Amino acid sequence: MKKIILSIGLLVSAISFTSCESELEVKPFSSVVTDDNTYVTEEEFDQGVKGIYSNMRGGGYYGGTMFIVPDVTSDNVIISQTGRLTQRTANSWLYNSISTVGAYYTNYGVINRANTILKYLENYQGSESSKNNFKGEALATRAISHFDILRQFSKIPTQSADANQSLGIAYVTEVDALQTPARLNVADSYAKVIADLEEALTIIGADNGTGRLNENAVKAILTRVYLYNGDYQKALDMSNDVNGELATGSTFEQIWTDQSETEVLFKLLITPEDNIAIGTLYSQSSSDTEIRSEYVFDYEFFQLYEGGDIRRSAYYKPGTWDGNDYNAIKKWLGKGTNRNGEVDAKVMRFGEVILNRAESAFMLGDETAALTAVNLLRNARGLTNFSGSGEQLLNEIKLQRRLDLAFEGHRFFDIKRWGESVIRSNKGDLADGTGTPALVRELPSGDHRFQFPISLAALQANENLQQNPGY
Amino acid sequence: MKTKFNGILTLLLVLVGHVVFAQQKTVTGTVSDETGPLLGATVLIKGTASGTETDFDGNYTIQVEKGQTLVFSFTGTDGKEVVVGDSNTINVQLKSVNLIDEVSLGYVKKKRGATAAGISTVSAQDIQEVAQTTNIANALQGKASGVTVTARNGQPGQTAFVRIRGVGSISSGQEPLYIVDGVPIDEASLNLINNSDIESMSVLKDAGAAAIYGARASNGVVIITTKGGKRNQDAKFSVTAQYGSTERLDGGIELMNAEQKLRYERELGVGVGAGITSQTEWDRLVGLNHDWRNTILRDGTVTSLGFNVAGGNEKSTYYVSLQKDSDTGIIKDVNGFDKTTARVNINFDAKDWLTLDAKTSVSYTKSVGFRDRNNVQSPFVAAMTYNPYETVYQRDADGNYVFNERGEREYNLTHSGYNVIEAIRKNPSQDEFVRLFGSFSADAKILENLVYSPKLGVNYNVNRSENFMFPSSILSQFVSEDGTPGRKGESGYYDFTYNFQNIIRYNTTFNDKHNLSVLAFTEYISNDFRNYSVSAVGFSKDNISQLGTGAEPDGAGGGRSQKRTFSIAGNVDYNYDEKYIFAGTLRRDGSSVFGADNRFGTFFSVSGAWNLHNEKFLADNKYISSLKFRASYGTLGNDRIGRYSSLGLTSYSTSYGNQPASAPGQVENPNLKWESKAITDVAVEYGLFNNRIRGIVDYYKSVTSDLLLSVPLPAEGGRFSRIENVGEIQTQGIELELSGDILRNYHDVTWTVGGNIAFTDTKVNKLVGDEPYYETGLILEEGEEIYTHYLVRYAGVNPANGHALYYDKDGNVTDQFSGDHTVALKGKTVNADFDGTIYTRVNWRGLELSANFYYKYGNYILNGRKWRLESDGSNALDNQQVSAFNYWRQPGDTGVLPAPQQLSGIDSNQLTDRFLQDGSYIRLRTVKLSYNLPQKLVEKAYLSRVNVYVQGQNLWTYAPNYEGDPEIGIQTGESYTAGEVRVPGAYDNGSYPTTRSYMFGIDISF
Repeated sequence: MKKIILSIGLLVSAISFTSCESELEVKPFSSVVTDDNTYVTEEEFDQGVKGIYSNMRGGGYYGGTMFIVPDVTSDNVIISQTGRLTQRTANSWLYNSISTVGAYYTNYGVINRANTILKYLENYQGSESSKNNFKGEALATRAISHFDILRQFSKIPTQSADANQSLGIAYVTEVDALQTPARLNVADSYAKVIADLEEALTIIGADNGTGRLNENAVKAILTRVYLYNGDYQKALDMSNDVNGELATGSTFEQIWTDQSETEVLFKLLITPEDNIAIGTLYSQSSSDTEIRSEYVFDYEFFQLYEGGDIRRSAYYKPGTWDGNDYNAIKKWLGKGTNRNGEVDAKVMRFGEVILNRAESAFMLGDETAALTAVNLLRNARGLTNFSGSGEQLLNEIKLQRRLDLAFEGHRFFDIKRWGESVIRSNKGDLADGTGTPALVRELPSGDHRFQFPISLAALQANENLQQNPGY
Repeated sequence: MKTKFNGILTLLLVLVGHVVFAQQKTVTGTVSDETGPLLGATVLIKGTASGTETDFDGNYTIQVEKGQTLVFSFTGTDGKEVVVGDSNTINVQLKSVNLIDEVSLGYVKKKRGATAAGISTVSAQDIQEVAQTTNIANALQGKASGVTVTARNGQPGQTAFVRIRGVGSISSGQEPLYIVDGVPIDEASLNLINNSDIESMSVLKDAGAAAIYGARASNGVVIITTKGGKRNQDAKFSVTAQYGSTERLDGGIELMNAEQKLRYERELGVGVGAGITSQTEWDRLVGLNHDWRNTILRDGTVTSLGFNVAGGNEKSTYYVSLQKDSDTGIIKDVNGFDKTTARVNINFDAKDWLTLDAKTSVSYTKSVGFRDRNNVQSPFVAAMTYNPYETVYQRDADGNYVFNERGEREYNLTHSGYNVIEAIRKNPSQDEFVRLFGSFSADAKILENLVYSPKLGVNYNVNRSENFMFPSSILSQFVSEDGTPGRKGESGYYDFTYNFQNIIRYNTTFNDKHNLSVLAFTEYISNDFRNYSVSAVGFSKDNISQLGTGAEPDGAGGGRSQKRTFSIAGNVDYNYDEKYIFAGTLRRDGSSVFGADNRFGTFFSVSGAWNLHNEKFLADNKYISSLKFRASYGTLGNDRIGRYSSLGLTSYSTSYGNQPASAPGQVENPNLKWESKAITDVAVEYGLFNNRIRGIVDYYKSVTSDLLLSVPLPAEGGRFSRIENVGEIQTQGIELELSGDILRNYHDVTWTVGGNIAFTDTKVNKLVGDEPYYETGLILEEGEEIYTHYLVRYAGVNPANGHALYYDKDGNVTDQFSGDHTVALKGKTVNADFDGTIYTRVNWRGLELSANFYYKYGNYILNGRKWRLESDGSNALDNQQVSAFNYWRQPGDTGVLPAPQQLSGIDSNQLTDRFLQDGSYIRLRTVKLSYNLPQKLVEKAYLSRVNVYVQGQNLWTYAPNYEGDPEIGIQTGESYTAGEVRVPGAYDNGSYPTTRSYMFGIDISF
């Protein structure tokens, strides 16, 4: 009997020993081990491309940061003293390599996803047109992400004479997670962005819808990049090539509640299940009148909206909080009548294309075309024709740009690329301009803080990465 | 008929014979040890089930026959057997065996004298001295030298951070391995244990002790053994009850009252205070004054009720217990924590060569949740930052409540936009766990000295969490879509661990003096973890919260993961007459978390000890009663990282526009392998003057190499981090334990005083590519102490203009704050230079008074709470500490805070070393006064023992340099899972405060 027990025991031990080597092989359930079979079919590539967009709409990029930081660092808004005082560091330009600002990490995450698709496309067996479309989307998203890093962390070519030779960014085209690329200069970085976009334009499909990039959207993005790069002729030509219409009347307001797609050329879809609320960065609201704002209209900026300007009612909402009245921002308040801040991320709309057209035409000396473009926009927004020329016309173009693109992540970059200073009013945060004024009111042209600091963590992880001057 | 008659006759004859022939007599006597009479010592007639216990004076009376043997036993003594002779009085003195008692090494039990291992033990009595509801990990605090326990926070039922001999790892798990009745469990499962079921806890600290656990043992091992019955003992019933009250410790933080806050606001020209134009309004607001800490928080109530029965016959033992504990916690309207546990432990001889053992327990815990994060959703943050003139409910101009259409008072949102009281009531959440644990084993005696023991351990944890945002709640108005108010979320997990061990033990003694034991075993552990979450929105009523009543599904999530390990080990243990002891262990472990070629790691240990007191030359020494030298060296492993850390993955846990999407996930690292820690340990254990003075001196040094570190990858690669084997850290330390009996039965008084102290120093030897590695606000730098604070240095206030000043990297004073000025603050680390315990216990007859102090010296805490409450105007709309008034007002002011930003135009609210404070403290951790009711009285009530006691926890604290309570765990309790790596005690963010408690209890046995 005992011997039987012993034998059984030893047998069990032996079995458990021998069989366990293979038992230690366990596979994850929500992922697969990446290999050459991971991306093969059309569905797999389609999902991979959606993975790129999914990252772009994250809170660290177009799901938040990109729509708040460039306004908070500008003269469009003032911090509400009864808010949570978020983004204060950015608002007072106090950022540094430890207390950082802007989108950097997420953008390279997007780029990695795009490069992954580009790498595995070799294996794709589907139709040439679908292959080209995937490739076009990957190239374009890669370019856009790089461009967004560029305008935050580097000088913009038109910003100053030394800009083109100054520090650009690392332009990444490989999937290797361990690579330690160095920064190119600004001129070379822009050349890479433009090359990717131009290649994408030749192959991307025209019917991907507004929730993905398509031919028309890539053209629109190119008008922006050309303008930043000072390629005014290309910007003008391309702007004439973009199809679109301007929203007028009540339709305009519906762009911001996702009830209309008029004018929208590219947006990132945000569903209720995604739980991404761009709007909470500006305000939170619990009832029709009670709005707790983080940032409200700068009083003087608010006064620049003329009577009849449909943008005033589309962007503004009177809000009370803690017994105070505010000029609250309602641009990202929610879909339909929602107030939860969850709304699609409108990255590119036709209004900007018209403004890019006006500005590039003016810079080329074609004031007629510039005036036509700016009045096209004015009329759509409920304003009468503007007449003026030279400096006046330029100022009008800049003003319309500011009024139209406010709270969409443009203002800081526009001031920057024009080589101007950020100069804030001394008005307070309350609806009538009283209350607490901005703590710091000027960022002088040429200040190093126009280029955001690279984080210490990023510098430590990549020995070839160089910090921006001044930090 | 005839047969039956014969039977009865036989029975009668037997009875008569018994009466006639047995020479029954009554024996009385006293049982004592060196310290005096022993209460509750067992007196048993050998070979029978009958026996008795000594009373309060150590006296016993027993009916016995001449020639029978009486067996005297008492925990912690050597026991004695006396053959009954002619005398009717038998007095025995048992020898206290503090230094040679039996210790559990997990796979085996050994007499302490016969082991070369470094082990600290915590007895049932020690455990009883902390509140019943406390998670058992907290009970280790100060009980064993070199074991540092930091409560996660003051929330009832929470696990704690346990660090045995400092930090042994960085990104990989830092918690010790817990073994319950021979089966490993994770930290989260500790709540399955009823504290009063614990017989003992052993802490294995050195490699000699822990190497048998090879893998996973690098952070030390805590072995928990639950109680069992005793053979040949009548059923013994015990009922325990405890009731008490808890109150928060806020460390004397003085917040502004309404008048002060309004005045502060007026001075700064912000907020309500600045806007008041009439004295009437001012007076009205001042009149609303209340301290939100008292409005949101309360004193908690702790109750616990337990029952157990233990006993056994010749062939079996049993132990059955039931216990219910509850602790309301200190948040109003939140019924903090409930725990119900049941246990059945049985052990029986199925055959004379086969003993079966089953230990099973089930526990149910429920915690009611609240938000514990760094914003006003946390009741603790709210309690400090809501203004004292703000009311809970809205009032109209006449001071009357405002009602909504449901007739409820409207809550006041306060300046923060959030009313935490409303949120606690209308956004409730709760967390329930059912934990099943079973350990089933057999001891089959195959040969005289050879035992084969298969063991099966199962541990099944089921979690279910629910949260409901009432459709009428304020939060719903902020976040819900139009038409679908309210949200119900349910989530949970199933966590199943299966553990199979095959152990073969061989023990032999030859030539009387050579004792050899050999152990070989295999162990296979498999864990399967599955979780889910679902939610729905659109609810009709606040009291209808089932998922199915939601109008629209909102989201669903879930996942699954597995981990497996397989180990084979051998251990040889030899001693010569308990004088010279040698032991060696070899263990090979495979873990599924590593790369295919690196799954297996080999670990070993060698140890030796010399019991000098067993040598002839010390046998008659009057002073030295015991003396032992021991030394060990060995290696231990750690695999506590993410489950698939070596694989390069594509993840499908993402979507776009509610359609499936995929994305690159983890970055592969096929070279990933075991982290390994080598420990050297030498120690002296001694007892002097008949063991009146006892002590241990222990020195150790451990070096952890191939550290499993989460290494940041270049941002440009887009993938951010992965786990790599890089770097090396080392810890060395000295632990001293000393205790002495100042009085031993002197006029019935026995007084023991003892203490321990552990000096620990953990240094970083090597890091990733020689680069410093950062945790938030902390730095790890080669050659420096681990977790050094990394901050900009504050240089005071410029007396001329009130601006804050800082030191730049080179030590020059500047008024410009910049992250570039950040430096490692050498010597100011999260770790204490030393910590330890002082305890005392006084007995006089039935009275016992015990006290236990815990102290910690030389650690630094970044006081984030002070940063928030002394914010130089930055948070002027929040309530502030009274000390915020002490700001710069005019040129020449010194010893002041910087001028508030409203006055200076400069934001000086920077997190600098201005808020870094020395966290040294000493605390009266427990004090307990207990009384055993006189035996005569007790017996009249047909009971065997009645003990009543009062005890207090955290009654007194001295923390001269810290503002607030210095017992800091982690920043926020939310979204923390037990076992996750954190650096406790680094940053005080005002999480759930530590509490002080007063308890009353009674234990009855019969």
